[in-house]
Amino acid sequence: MNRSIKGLLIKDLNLMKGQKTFFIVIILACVLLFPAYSGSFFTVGYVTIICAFFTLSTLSYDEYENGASYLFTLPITRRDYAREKYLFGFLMSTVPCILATAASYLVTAVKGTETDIVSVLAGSVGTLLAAYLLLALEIPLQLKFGQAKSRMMVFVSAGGIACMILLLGYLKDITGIEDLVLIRFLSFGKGAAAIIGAAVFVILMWISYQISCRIVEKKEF
Amino acid sequence: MIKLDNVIKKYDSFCLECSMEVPVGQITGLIGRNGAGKSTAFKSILGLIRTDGGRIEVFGKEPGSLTPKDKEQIGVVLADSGFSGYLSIKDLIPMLHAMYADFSKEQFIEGCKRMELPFNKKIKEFSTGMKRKLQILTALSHNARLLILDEPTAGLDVVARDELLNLLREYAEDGERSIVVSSHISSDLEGLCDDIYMIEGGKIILHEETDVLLSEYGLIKATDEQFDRLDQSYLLKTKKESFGYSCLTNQKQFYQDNYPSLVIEKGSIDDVIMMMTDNTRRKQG
Repeated sequence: MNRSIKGLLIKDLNLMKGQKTFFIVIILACVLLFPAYSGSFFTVGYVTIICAFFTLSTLSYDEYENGASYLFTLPITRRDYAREKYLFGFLMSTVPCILATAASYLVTAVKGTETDIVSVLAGSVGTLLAAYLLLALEIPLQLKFGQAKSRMMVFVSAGGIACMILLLGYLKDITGIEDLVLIRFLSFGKGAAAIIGAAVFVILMWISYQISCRIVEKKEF
Repeated sequence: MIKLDNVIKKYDSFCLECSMEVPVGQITGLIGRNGAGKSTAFKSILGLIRTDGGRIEVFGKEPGSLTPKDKEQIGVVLADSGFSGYLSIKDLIPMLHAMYADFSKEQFIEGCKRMELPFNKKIKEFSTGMKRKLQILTALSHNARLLILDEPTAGLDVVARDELLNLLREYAEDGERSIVVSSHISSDLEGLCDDIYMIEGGKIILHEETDVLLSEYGLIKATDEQFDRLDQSYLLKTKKESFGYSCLTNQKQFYQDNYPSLVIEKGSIDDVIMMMTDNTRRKQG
């Protein structure tokens, strides 16, 4: 790992440490909520998404009182900055997700509740992928528009996606097009579909990263 | 170390058009009123903003091409920015240690203690002076070859200001390091800088060695009658006053020798700024 990214990671971890009250509240909430949701999915999802979103808070902390100007006089490149945010986002989603999954599995095991480990893991992986995708959408938006506007953009884009799904459902009903696409996709077999899905996912992440790099490189401070 | 060749940066209501040079081993001052363009010039040098024309070189490279290794050789104080307010000095130490190969942790901690900066307090709770001291200590902590200091004395009390100026003098003593420092307080720069650029409305209106400025510039106070008889060849600026005219010259000795009855005050940077930025008529003839 190069010195710049290491320094930036230390900065973000220290920013996180500075918000320890926030994280204690999350842990308490999980402890309190867990009995109400005996399935682990809610807890894992809650912890993963909240922690992943802390990456976005670090962007706001960096920009607090025009701090980004000074940050970019330190020995880092603009690309390093974008790269570190994705790395931090990855760590902030993955580590809490693993810990929450392990903790919730242990709790259910101790309670003697019957749990299907495969479905627990599938739920966790699904949550993790959702967290990565949210970050892939939100990091470039926040870099470009700042916190307040980017949240608005997420609401708008979520609304847009919901409308598209509704529209596709409607088109499917009248034309059956979506079925055809889905059937073709599944006709490759489960393994191939997973590979294609993973490839699409990686490409989406790469596109998001490249967009973020361009935004930071063009930005004036 | 730094070269700006006809650099242009346009905003809606402001345009920077600036050429200047900071040689190796020299302390160069940039002085001007608030909003004159000092911070814009510095941000251009640091590559924080894109310019609309001209050429900037830092260590012989364009600012955008500076590598992290190059940037380790630059210490910076910015007038309107600093470390994230959500961090504390205790948080900064491992970060700076990771980023700068030459970071002197002991020296930095010692400096913070000397300047009475709290280690555990969030920076957003610091006063302006404390924030400035922190930036200065950081700039001096990693053996940089070049210091770019935008208003480093703003918010500092007289004692801290004096201490800072001494620190900067010591820092540049080896003759290998360069400093470019801006201020709107002339006394900060008079005793520190080898040469001074004066900026007004985004343009460099004067560049002079500090010694020359202080020894050869003078302010002539002339009655209307004296002014009419005056050789105006060496007057840079004149200003109508109730008693007659105030005239800025860079040939004080000439007027002292040839017009012994004239009142000629020793030039100060403040006088030069006041005269050069005032909307009065330019020299005649």
